[in-house]
This record gives sequence, structure tokens and C-alpha cells, in this order.
Amino acid sequence: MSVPPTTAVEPPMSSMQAGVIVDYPASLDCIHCGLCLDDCPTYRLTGVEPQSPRGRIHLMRAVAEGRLDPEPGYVEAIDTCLVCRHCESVCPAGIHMGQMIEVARDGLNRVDPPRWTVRMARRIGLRGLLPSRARLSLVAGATRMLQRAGLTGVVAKMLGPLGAGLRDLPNVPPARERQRLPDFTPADGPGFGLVALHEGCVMPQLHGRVHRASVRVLAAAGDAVLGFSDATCCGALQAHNGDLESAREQARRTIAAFERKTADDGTTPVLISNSAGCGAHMKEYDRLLADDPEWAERAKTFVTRVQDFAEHLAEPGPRERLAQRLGRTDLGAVTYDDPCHLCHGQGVREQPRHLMSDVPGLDVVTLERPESCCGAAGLHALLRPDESRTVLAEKLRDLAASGASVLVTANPGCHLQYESGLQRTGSDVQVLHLAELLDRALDGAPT
Amino acid sequence: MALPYLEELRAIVGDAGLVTDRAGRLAYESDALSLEKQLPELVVLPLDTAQASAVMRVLSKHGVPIVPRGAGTGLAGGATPVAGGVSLSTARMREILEIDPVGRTARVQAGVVNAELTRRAAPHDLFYAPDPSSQAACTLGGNVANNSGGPHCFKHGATTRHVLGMIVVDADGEVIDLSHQGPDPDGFDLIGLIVGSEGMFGLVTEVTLKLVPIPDATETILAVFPSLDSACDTVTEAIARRLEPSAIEILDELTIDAVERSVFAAGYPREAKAVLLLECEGSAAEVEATSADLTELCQEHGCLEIRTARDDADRRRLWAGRKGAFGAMGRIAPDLYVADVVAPRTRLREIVRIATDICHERGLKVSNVFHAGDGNLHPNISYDRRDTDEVRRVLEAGELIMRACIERGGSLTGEHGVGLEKQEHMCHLFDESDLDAMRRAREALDPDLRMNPGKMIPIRGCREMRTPEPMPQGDDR
Amino acid sequence: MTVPPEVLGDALSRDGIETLREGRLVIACPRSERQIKALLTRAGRDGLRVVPAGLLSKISGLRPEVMEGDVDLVLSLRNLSKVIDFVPGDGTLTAQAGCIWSDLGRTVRESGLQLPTDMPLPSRTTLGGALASGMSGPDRLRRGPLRHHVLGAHVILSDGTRAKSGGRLVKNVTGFDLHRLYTGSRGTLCVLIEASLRLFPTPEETCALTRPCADAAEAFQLAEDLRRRHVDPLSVTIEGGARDPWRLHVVLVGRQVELPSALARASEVLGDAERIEGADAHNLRAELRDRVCHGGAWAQLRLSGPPARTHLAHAMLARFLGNDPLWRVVAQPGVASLEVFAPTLAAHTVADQIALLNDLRATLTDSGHRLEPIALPGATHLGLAADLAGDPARRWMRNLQRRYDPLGRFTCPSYPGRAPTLGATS
Repeated sequence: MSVPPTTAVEPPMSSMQAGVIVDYPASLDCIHCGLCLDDCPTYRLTGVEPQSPRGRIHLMRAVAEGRLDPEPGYVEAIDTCLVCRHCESVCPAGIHMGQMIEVARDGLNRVDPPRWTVRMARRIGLRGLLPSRARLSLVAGATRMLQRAGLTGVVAKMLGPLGAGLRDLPNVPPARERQRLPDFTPADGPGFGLVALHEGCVMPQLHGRVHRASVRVLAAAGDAVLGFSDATCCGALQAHNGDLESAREQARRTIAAFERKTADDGTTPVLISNSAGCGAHMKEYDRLLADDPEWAERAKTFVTRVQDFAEHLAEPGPRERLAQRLGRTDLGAVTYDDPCHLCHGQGVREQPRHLMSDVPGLDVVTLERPESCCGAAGLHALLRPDESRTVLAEKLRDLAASGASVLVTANPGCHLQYESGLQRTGSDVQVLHLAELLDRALDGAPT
Repeated sequence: MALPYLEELRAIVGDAGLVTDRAGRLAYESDALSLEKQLPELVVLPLDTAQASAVMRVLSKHGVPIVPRGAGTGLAGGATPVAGGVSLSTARMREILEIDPVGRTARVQAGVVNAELTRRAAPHDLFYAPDPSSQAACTLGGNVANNSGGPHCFKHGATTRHVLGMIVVDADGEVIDLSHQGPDPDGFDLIGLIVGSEGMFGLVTEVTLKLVPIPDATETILAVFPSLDSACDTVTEAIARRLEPSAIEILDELTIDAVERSVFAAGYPREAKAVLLLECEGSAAEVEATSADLTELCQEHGCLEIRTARDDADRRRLWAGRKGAFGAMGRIAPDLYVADVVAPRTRLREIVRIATDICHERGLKVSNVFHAGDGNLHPNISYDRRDTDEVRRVLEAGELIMRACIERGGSLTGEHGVGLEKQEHMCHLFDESDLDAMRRAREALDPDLRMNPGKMIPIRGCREMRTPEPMPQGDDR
Repeated sequence: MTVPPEVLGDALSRDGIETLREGRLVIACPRSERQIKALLTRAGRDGLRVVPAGLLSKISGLRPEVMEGDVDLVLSLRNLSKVIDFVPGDGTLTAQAGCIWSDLGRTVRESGLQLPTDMPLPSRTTLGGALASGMSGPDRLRRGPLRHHVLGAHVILSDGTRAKSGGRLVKNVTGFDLHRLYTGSRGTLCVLIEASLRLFPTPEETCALTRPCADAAEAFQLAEDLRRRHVDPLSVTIEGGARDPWRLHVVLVGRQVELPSALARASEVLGDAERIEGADAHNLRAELRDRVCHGGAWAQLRLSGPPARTHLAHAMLARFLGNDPLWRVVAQPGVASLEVFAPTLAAHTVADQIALLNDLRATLTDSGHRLEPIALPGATHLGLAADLAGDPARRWMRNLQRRYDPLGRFTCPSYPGRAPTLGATS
């Protein structure tokens, strides 16, 4: 073995410095062992190293060390990552891929601004649309009109490549299902705790029913529930797409809005997220705002209050109270698929399963590779529909093999991805959010 | 840069089967031995034997060197590209072609991941026994090239004992079909020769492997020891008493600490100086008897505590810690030098101690995690590659450990292979005529020396590298 | 060229090399590495065809041209018979090639160890001969073939160079596994002078179940049932033939505590089987080991292929040999080999034998089986081998031979399918 060359260019050591386009210190954690390869959906799909976690980190390091320019091949490698963070769960050296990709994408946006169409689309989508409940509502309403008139295909064509995802959009529910949650819902029975349910941006428009089910389940478990829609979007999609500036802005808005929920006596609610992607992101606000002197401490306090829906309910108190309320519900064989940002992002694996096991007589079957990505991956399903479908195809095969007639998930992206995939293949497997499953069991026959 | 053969190859494998751009190729510049780097001219990813053969015919015509690559998890630089050469990756050849539950065999493409085969064999109550630590990612073709081991090879043997047949494509693209071998080879044991040849004879595209029945009972024992010495002695004695567990592993203090701080935290006791991880498998009665014997033996050697894992989740956790150990070392220092020497099993303690002393004398941090039952040691030295002097001391220590092993009847590598890393050290173990016999085999099967050139066999003669010993001279010519 | 044996023997004796004569054969028995090199030098100078050997017990079946006197010199390693290194604590044995298998077995037995395979005719087999023949015993079902347990070897190449590969360690991947290439090469690449073996612990208990079967089909079915039930015996042997009744033998070994349950499981499958224990079980194990050399003669043919299809090959064979009143089969179904004794076949002319066996071979291909001639004339071997000359794997083997032995001193026309004209010196 020869003596390795010492790096000629000494790369900067802080990721948040101006002009830095790669999180170099984080990239040094990688020991190049390759244990991540087979759990990476894009590597499984393509078999090529630059589309694996190890390959991506290797290229980031090469860019930081001045051995590689941020050329198109590099951009491709960084762009194709689904940010499912599966690699984080299997990495013995404990890399933070999600964070590294966000920094790398942010860096690319700065050194090599994308084409103006993409820029416009992102600006409209990420900065104009997602943070505004009113505008989202408007778009949802318009889409519903198009869908009812059977015109989505025509408009999709007019939009060109950007419209490709439009055809796959689920049917937008009527306006009454897209309304805000009540500001306050009392506990259903004796009250024990106070929670706020994070409504988010897309969910109220498409999955209002999941929110309402969540409120009923939380209330049944003894929690009073506050509606929390003040900041609309948590900023996860902005961060994943490398717009860290907007992401930080959304984080500050969310934190500020949450701080206003503090009661006069100083008690703060637990902020519940029933969207794995938002929950995972909000739990990392402290890292996002670490270099912001005004917000760093507030972010640290904030993240201690965030919990996933299942994580909260599986705590001894709520779980015990909820279990007493659950009855039989005849759903056939049910299986659970771990959303990436729940299992890999938040380490929440057993809790949803425990809650499902509390439903009397529920026939739970196992799914192979439940922790692998379904291909939804935030905006990926919209931006790269073909790849996304290929990733999903493997999951659908496993789902069929499991024999389940209901698939339970806990993230809106996965939920929509499965629904559209199952619809395309003509499957009659039903997709439910964990909250919906528990909600049905609330109405179930007593045991 | 236009490669004269690029379009011919594109016609065979298509765009998805090529990595041509500089960034993409840069991701292939090393395998898991990241100290050695070389940018390949091109990366080609065929889908099957026919494509591989066609690709290799084209490369033969143009006289291009070929470096086979599986998942690139090798630790010896066996898949490091060569200058002016093409890396031929099996990563897209991932079909399990057939599982025969009665014959207990599986026919797979070379790019199938080791753990995937075990997963797919499980419904038939079978598994694939060799289980290298990288099994979640490494390919079976790569296992064949390196004759990979793993903890359970103590009982079941390394890869070579599990390969029943294969299809290999030679440097000129000719397909050598050895897939219908009976219990004995038809003619010479070419399979025995190819397994462990580090891709220097041809590209293995398909393998027929033996599957093993999942045992009725399995028990994993974790024995906690007050010193590394006593753990080593326990193993030596277990071998001498001819106890037959299926795996015997040792992890030392520093390793335990790193593992416990990683995602693979297995609940190993942090205060232990060493733990012995033992697994027994077989019929319930056999497991019970062997486990009782082992427990007694551990106690005789002063073990502090014994934990037994009987359920699957517990066992998996104990093993996840062992398998993630190398990676977890990333928490001690940015870089890790993984030595892979072999010692006669009667001298485990002596050699582990010598290795530790060699490192400590040089101010290096060494941790041990190894397949004790097979005498396969992994003294791991943590370092930071940016510290040039530390790198020098690490390499010096690595060399001295190898020499110490060889002087005591040991060997250079037990499972990682020679590759680039140990190429020059081959001369410590073999003399020029030994290496010449290896060269003969190579020249017979790849006369142009285009398959993975410059690996394993030292390029310079050994006489130039060391003082020659008096050697028996052949008296003809 | 043919050197008169008496001249050759006298010449060798002058160099201090012990020579024996058996019929037309001159057998040189060197006592040292130096003498081996001297012999090879002379063979090179005089263009002699040399066959390395031990006690010639395996050669008689595997290299018929030796027994037919169609070689100039047999180089027997029988005088190189030192145990070099036996490490009971490590379970390894290193010995010179001329050590007798059964002597080595006795050496390791006292330490509670066994050699890695039940080699047929152990008292007439040397370590080198066992390895060169590529043979293994019936216990390979559980332990794997002998070649899996060869840890390293020292050889002398045709130009007199000594070369080693592997080592004395149970796990080692340093360098090519050339010792695996030499194992089963039947002395056509080099002279094996020393080898290291992995040893196995002597099992606490041995017992056997043996059972008559109505016909071959029942025997093969039972063997498959055992396999499906994951009974893990040391060996399974089926024997029977035109005049002999069919029998199935199952030998089980293990710890005292576990054997009853293994026996029970096997008995469930086998039903009414005779149970053999203690010394009788050991004797049966030894008898089964030697079955492949029935009445002192090797089988005429060996068929091998995928384990799951052994019964198909057998059915094919039975149809084919129907006319032979003396045919008999010894099969090891789990490892998929069938030794076929067909004495009538030997009475045919060489041309008929080749035609007949080529037909049989064509039929067997469907069940993925291979046919290999054993105790048949050299010309039959050659005739059947010529057919395989175009196979790329054979080309590799020939290239290896050419590179290892450029002057063709160890040449064997029929193994492993060398084109007849190559390297022939006479």
C-alpha cells in the first residue's frame, strides 16, 4: 500500500459559510464501506455508483477538495437522490445524508442556477404556493374543477414536461373537506394532555379526512387538540429541493407561530405531525438554524416539543387510554409500510405497529422490505415520474405478495404514491393513514 | 476524449450500461480501500453473460485491460481501476435465476447481493452460509472473486466450499461454462482455481451455489471477559477440545465502545475488556449440549458474565453489532486500517498481544474484532489520513503485524484478499518460484494479462524486495 | 520413444534411486526431493513420459495407459513418507505425499481427530495419490469432498522447480488456490510432494440404518425423503443391480445426546430399518467406503449430475444396461454420483464401447448428467475424451497443462481431454 497523497486544497471546515457548496465535514464521516448500496432505491434501480449514497458523498468530497467541478454528472447525482435517508439507518459510521443533500442542492442552486423555467416553477411552487393556505386552496379548487370537467389531460399537455405529474394527481376532495380544523377540540372523555396538530400545506387540501381522523383519535386518547395552521408549510420541501433560504424562513415562521400557542401559564402543547416528512424536518430545525444567533436557541426548544402522531400515541398513557376505546373492525389483512422519514428520519418503527396490535382482532401481515422507499420522495414523483414508478413497482410486488387488502402508512406523499400506483395497476388494495385505521376502530364493535 | 470502442459498447449495453462522464467515473475510482485511487476510462455494466461476452470481445479487439467489480466493498483494492482500463461492473446482473429446494442449490447472476439470496432462500428453509460483514451490500460474484469468509464460515467453510458451478467469461470474451459440474469437477478443478483468484482469470457472470438447511435450533452466547488474553485462550481451548459451535468471534473493549455508540448498538456490556460471541446450531439436543460445554469452558477461563440469546430479534441484535463493527470505527477516527492476518489457532493470544504491542509502541489506537475460531485476526488501526506521520506509522505497524504472523506460521490475508494492498507483502510468504507457479496459471488462462492486471502477484521480482534466502535450485537447463 | 525398462531401471539405480519393476512398468521410488529433480531432468533429456504415483491403486482405474504399459516411467512417491507437522490443537496435518492414508488416520486418531474423508482402500492409498485422484469417500455428503479440505501443497514442476501454494491454516486466501487445481489433476500438471489437510473431530457416536428396498426407485425416493426432512447423515449409499437386491444404508454420526433424535427422524422416513450400532456401525462405515472398489475392481463408469435428478439418470442407465446380467450400481444420492459396474461392457471391442457410451452419454445429457469412463481401456478413455476437445473449459485445461508442462512429460492423452497429437513424444 502506498502512502496516500495529502490533500492539496484545504477545504473549508464549516458547511454554512458563504461560497461553500458541500457539507465537507459531514462527508468525512463516510468510510467508503459501501454497506448503504443495496438499500438505496436509486442504486437498486440503476446499479451505478454515482447514484448511491457512497458515490454521492464521494463526489461531494471531490468537489470540496477541488478534484471535481460541479459539472452536469455531479448535478445529476445530487438531483436524483430521493432523500429517503434509508442509508442513514444502515450506515455504521452514522452519516447524515439528508442534511448533506440539502446543503449540496442549496450550493448548486447558488453556483449553477437552474434554467429559468425550473427556477420559475420552483419559485412559484416552493416560495409562492406552499407557504400560503389561501393560494393552495385556490389551486386545489381550480384543480378540482379541471378534474370534474375531465380537462386535466389537456392542461397537462399545455404545461409540457412540468405538467407530467398533473395527470397523476389524486382527485381533489370538495371544499367542505378542505376546511381548517377547529381551533380547539376538547378531549373525548377525561382530559390528560394538550396537543397541537400540525396541518401543513398539501394535507389540508388533499387529506383533510386524515386530519379529522387524527383529531378524533387524539381526543379519544385523552388529549385536547389545537388546530395549527398558522405557518402552513414547514419548509421540508424547500429544504429537500435545496432552497435552504426559504426553508429557514418557513422554520422561523413555524417556530414563531408555535410559540404563540404557549398558554399564559407557560404550558406548551406537544406539536403533533401526522406527516412523517414534516415531522422529520421540524425535528431538525435546530440544525437548520444553528448558525442563526437569534433563532438557534428557540429552535432547540421547539424541536423538543415535536412528536409524530404514532410516537405520541404509543407512549404508555395515551396508548392505554386509546386501547380501551378500540373495537373490532373488519378490514381483512392489513400491513404496514414504514414511511422513510418516519423510520429512517425519526427512528419511529415499533410505535405504529404497537398501536395496530392494539386493535382487537386485526389481521396484520408482514411486508417484505417495509423500510425501503416507495418512490414518492417529496416532489420526486412529480419531477421524475418514470423513475418514481419503477421504484414503486418493486414495492407493489412485495405488497401483492403480502396478501394484504389494506396498506397502512403515515405520510401523505407515500399515501398518494401508493394510491395512484394501485389505481394504475387496477389493484383494489386500499390505502389508509394510521389515523384513519385507528379512527375506524374507534367506531368498531366493542370486544 | 473519445474512446475508439465506446460506440461498439454502447450498441451492446445501451446508455444505461455505461458510465462515461468524469463525475460518474470518479465515483468508481476506488473500492472500500479508499487509499488507492485510479480513474477508469469507462465503466461498463452488462446485464447478462451474453452482453458481458460481447463487451469483452470488443475490449479484447482493442487490447483494453479489464477490472471486474461487484459492489466495490472489497477492502484490499482488488477492484481499484487500472490506468487506461475499463471497469466491468456486475451491479446490474442481479437476477436469482433458480432456487432448487430439493437439490439445495441456487443459480444466480454474479451481481446478486449476498443477503438477498439468504432472504429469498428462507421460504424454503434454506440459507446461504458464507456471511461476510458486508453481506448486506456485497455481491456473490465479488464473494467468489475473494473467496469471502464471515463468522459462520467457522462451521460451514468459506465461499469456495459453497460454489458448485459457474459461468466465467475469459479476457477474449469466450464463455467457459462450468455450470453443470457434478459432485466432482469434469477434468481439472477450475472452479477451485477461479474462486479467490480476484478476477484475474476472467469475469464470473453466473454462479451455482450450495444452500444449507436452516438449523432446527440456534443459540447465540455472549461471554464477557476481564481481558482479551482470557478470551483468546478460551477460543484456543475450545478448538483443542474440538467443540463445534458454528461461529466464534471476539470483540475487544474499543470495538465494543464504538459499536455501542453506533446505530448497531447491540447491548454489549461497556465495561467488558473483551466479549466472545459464540453461536451453536443444529438439533435442539446438540445445541443444548454444545452450549453447556461452551459455557463451562468460558467459566473455567474466568468469564464474568454469560448472556444467551434464543429469540431471533435478540440474536439479530447481537450479530448486527458484530457486522457493523468496522463501520462503527468511523467514530474513533476518520480512517481505519483493517488488517486481515491469519494465525494458527494455537497461538491466538500471542499474536494478538504482539499486534497490540506493535501498535501501542507507535502511539496508535488499535481495536480487535475477529473470527477467532478460524484464527483470522483483524487488528484495526484508527487514524486520520491527513496526518502524514500517522499514516506512515500505521503502514509500518501493518507490515510488522503481517511479518509477525508469518514468522509464527500465519498468513497475510484470511478473507479480504491481496489486491493492491498486500501485493508487495506476498514476498514475505512466497518465494519467486511459488509466485512463478501462480504466474503460469495466469498466463495459461489470460496470456495477454488483461484481466485485473497489476494485482495480487508482485510486479517486481521478490528478490529485489528482500534478501534472498538460499533456495533449492532446479538443476535442469 | 520407448526405453527398454531394464536400461531405464539400471540407469536410475546408478543415481541411487530405488527402482521396482512390475511387468513392463519401471517404477522409480525416489527418497528425496533431489532425486525427484534428477529423475525429471533425465526424463526431460530423454523425452520420457512420466506418471507420478503412490501405490498405483487409484491409477489402475483413472489412468489406464499406465497399466497398459504405455508410459516410460512411474515416479512413485512412496518413499517420501514423513509426517511434517501435526498440530492437534489447530486440527491440521501436514505430511509428505508418500504417507499411507491409513497410517495418517492412526496418527491423528489418538488426538480425537479424523482425516477429512473416508478414502477408499486407505491402506493402499498415499496422501499424494488420494489428492491426485480427486476421490472422496461417501462421508462427503456431510463433510464435502476432500478437495475442500486441502489447505496447501508443495509440488515439483516439470522443470524441477519447487513451488508451494496455500499454507497450513484452516482459513487463508493468500494467492491462487493452486492446490485446488492440483487436486484431481491425476498427476498431469506436477509432482505433488507435500500437502496440508484440515482434520475433523472424531464423532462421539456412530450408528447406521440399513434397509432393503423393493427396487431402485424406492431407494432413491427414500433418499430424497430424508433430504426433504433435513436429516443430516454422514453418508447415504444405495446399492443393487441385476442380480443383487437393492439396499439403502444411512450412516449417522454426532454427539451422544443428539443422535437419538436424528435416528428417530431418519426412522420415521425409513420405516422398518435395521439399526446398527457400536463396532458394527464402524465396520459398515468402512465397508461402504470401499464399495466403489467392488471385489478389488473399480467400476467401469461413473455418472454424476444434479442431486435432485440422480434417480432419472439411474432409470436411464437401467434401460441402457438391461442386457448386462451382471450390472450393479453403487450410488451416493445426496452427492449425486453413481458408480456403475458393468463387466459385460468390458468384453466389447473398444469401438463398440465408445459407440455405446456415446449413446448413453447423449441420453444422460437431458438429466444434466455426465458420464466418465473408469476401469475401461485407455483407448476407450481416449475415444470418449476426443469428443470433448472443442469445449472451451477443455481448452483452458489444455492451456494450463501446456504452461505447466511445456515438454509434455506428464502427458496423458485422455485426461483431461487433451487433443491426442499434443505433446506426444512417441
